[in-house]
Amino acid sequence: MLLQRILMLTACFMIPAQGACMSIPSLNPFKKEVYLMSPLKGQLVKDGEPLANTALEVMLSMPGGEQRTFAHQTDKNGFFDLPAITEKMHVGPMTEFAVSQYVFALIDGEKVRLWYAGKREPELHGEFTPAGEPVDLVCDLDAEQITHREMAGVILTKCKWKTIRRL
Amino acid sequence: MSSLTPTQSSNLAADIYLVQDKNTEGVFFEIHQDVIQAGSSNVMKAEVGSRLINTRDAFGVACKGSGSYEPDVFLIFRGSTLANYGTDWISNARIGLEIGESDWPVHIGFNHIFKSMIPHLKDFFASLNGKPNIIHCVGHSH
Repeated sequence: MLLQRILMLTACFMIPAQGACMSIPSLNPFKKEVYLMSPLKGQLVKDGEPLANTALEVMLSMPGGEQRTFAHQTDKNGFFDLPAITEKMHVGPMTEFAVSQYVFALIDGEKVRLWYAGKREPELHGEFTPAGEPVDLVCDLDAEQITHREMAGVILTKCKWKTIRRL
Repeated sequence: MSSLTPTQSSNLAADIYLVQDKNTEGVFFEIHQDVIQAGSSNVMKAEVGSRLINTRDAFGVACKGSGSYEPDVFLIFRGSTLANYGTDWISNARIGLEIGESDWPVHIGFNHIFKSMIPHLKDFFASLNGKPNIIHCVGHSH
């Protein structure tokens, strides 16, 4: 019985404020805000022309397989400004952070993948190594997908950028 | 005989952490198509946690090679993640030794995870036509 209690208490310290230990989330002193996805600004184009008022879908695949989706849209000039997605969670030095991000454009009922990033660092703009923000991002529906291997993580995308502004 | 380069090995070991579902499995094979063959895989779900708190979670991939690695097979495993409320670390906390499949002492938590994957491994090897040339075992842990 004592062993069971110790195990449950250990588990409660290790898990986020959900599930069995929801009543005592404040007991976990190791939780910090992590970026599941950093903000992403850019322009969506096809044949060099902006795609106005086009639906975008952001999807996250969380550790354990949970999926979260968020709906967005380009403006009248094809620009999009996807906000950061953050969460408070426990990320210890012995635990690997791994979140997959997708950005799809919804065109004629089909999803076209513009962006995939396997984010392995929890920090802001940790999609890039060292952390950085893509500047003048343009996502062309007709572009070939390019793979960017980062020191931590990987990006597959139809988007191109002029430079990376390092933090 | 083709050995993986250190870069190929480390990229496979790093990216396997991202495999959580069919979508991420597809992307994993897309990224590594020069080494491993899409459609040949068997995602290995392992039982992680303890007798009190446990769950089944994607813990690795068994698949055939592609290109110059076509005669080979790959067993690619992840280490501990945040998945399922930290149940990996409940497995890790099951310290102590027991005799494993190969008659050597093994960490109890690891052995429990490995034993739960054996049916997947058997299914995968039974699905192969003939013996593989090389079995590449790739993974990472702290």
